[in-house]
Amino acid sequence: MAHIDRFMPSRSYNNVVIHQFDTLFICKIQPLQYRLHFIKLLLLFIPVFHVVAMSSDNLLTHLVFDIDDTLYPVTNGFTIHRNQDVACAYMIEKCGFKDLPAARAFRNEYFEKYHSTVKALTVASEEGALPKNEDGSDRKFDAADLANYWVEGCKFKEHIEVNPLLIEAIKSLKEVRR
Amino acid sequence: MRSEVTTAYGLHHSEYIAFLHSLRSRQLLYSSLRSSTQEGKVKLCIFTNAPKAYGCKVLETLHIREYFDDENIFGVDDVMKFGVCKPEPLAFNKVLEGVGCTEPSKAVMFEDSMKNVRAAKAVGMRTCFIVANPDLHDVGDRPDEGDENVDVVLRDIGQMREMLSCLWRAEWDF
Repeated sequence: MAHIDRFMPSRSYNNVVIHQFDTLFICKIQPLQYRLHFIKLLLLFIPVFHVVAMSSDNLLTHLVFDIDDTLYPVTNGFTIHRNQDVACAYMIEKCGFKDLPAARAFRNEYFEKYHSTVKALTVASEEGALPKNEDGSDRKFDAADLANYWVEGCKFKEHIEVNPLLIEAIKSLKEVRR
Repeated sequence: MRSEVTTAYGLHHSEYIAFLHSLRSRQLLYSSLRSSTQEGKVKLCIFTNAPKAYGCKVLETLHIREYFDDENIFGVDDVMKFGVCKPEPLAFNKVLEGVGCTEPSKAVMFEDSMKNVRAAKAVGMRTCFIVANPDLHDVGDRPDEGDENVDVVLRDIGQMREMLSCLWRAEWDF
C-alpha cells in the first residue's frame, strides 16, 4: 500500500471527501479512529439517500386523463350513440357511403387498424378508399368538419350524467402540490 | 379623457399618471401571483383520440372543463400533426412534451383501452385502467385487468378518492 500512499493527500488535507477516499484505500496504515469515523458517516447517510431516492421515485407531476369511457361509464350508451349513430351518419352524409351497414363495416375495419375515427378517415381519404365524388374525383375527409358534426350532432346531455364524485375529485386534485 | 378625469377629481396630471402606473404594476403583480400559485401543483391534462372541440364539449357536460387549462388538453387533431394518434408511443411522447413532463414515470395515464394502457406503459408512464363492463369494448380492444402493464384498476372514475388517495399526496403507491 506504500505506493498508493504517495499519491494520496495528507491527513490534514481540507477536502473531507478526498480525505475519506484516502482513508478507504490506505486503511491498513491509518489509525483506528479514522476508520470508525468513516464508517459512522457512511451509516448516517445511507437512510438519507434511501429516503431521497424512494420519494423522488414515487412523486407525481402530471395526471393525464382519457375522456370517452374513462371519465364517464361506457354503460351509459354514449359511445355507441357517437360511433354508431353520429359517426356513421356523418360517413353517409359527408363521405358518400350508401347506407348504415356499409358505413359501419368500413369504420370497424379501419378503426381496428388506426384506433381513431379521425385517423381512420384521414388514412382512408389519403388512400383513396372513400367512395368517389359524383364527378369521379377522390373524396377528401376534413377532420375539423367531423369535429363540428360531433359537437353539433351528439346528444351529450341525454347520455352523460354529471358525477359529483368526479367533480369533487378533479376540483381538489387541481390544488394538490407536487 | 385624461383632462376630464383630472379636472373632475381635482387631480394634478402627474398624480393621475402615477395612479395609472400603480394600476399597471398592480396588474402585473396579480398576474405573476396567479401564475406562481399554479407553479408547483400537479398538472391535470387530457389526451383523447377524439377531436379537441368534441372533448371539451364532453368535459363541459361533465362540469369539469374549468379545471383543465386549455394548453393541457390534447385531442387527436393535436397529435395528427405528427401523423400519429393513440396508441402510438410517439403520440404519448408528444403530449408529455406538450405539457412539460420530462419524466414519464411521474405521470399517470387514466385509460379504458388496453391498447392505450400498454402504450402508456411503454413510454414509462404509470397506468390506471378503468374497466366498467368487460363486454362493452371497442373493436379489437378486449380488457385484461391482469395485464402486466396495468398498475391499478378502477371500476369507475368516481372511485379515485377512495382507491387512489395517494394522488392527493402527489405520490404513486402502486
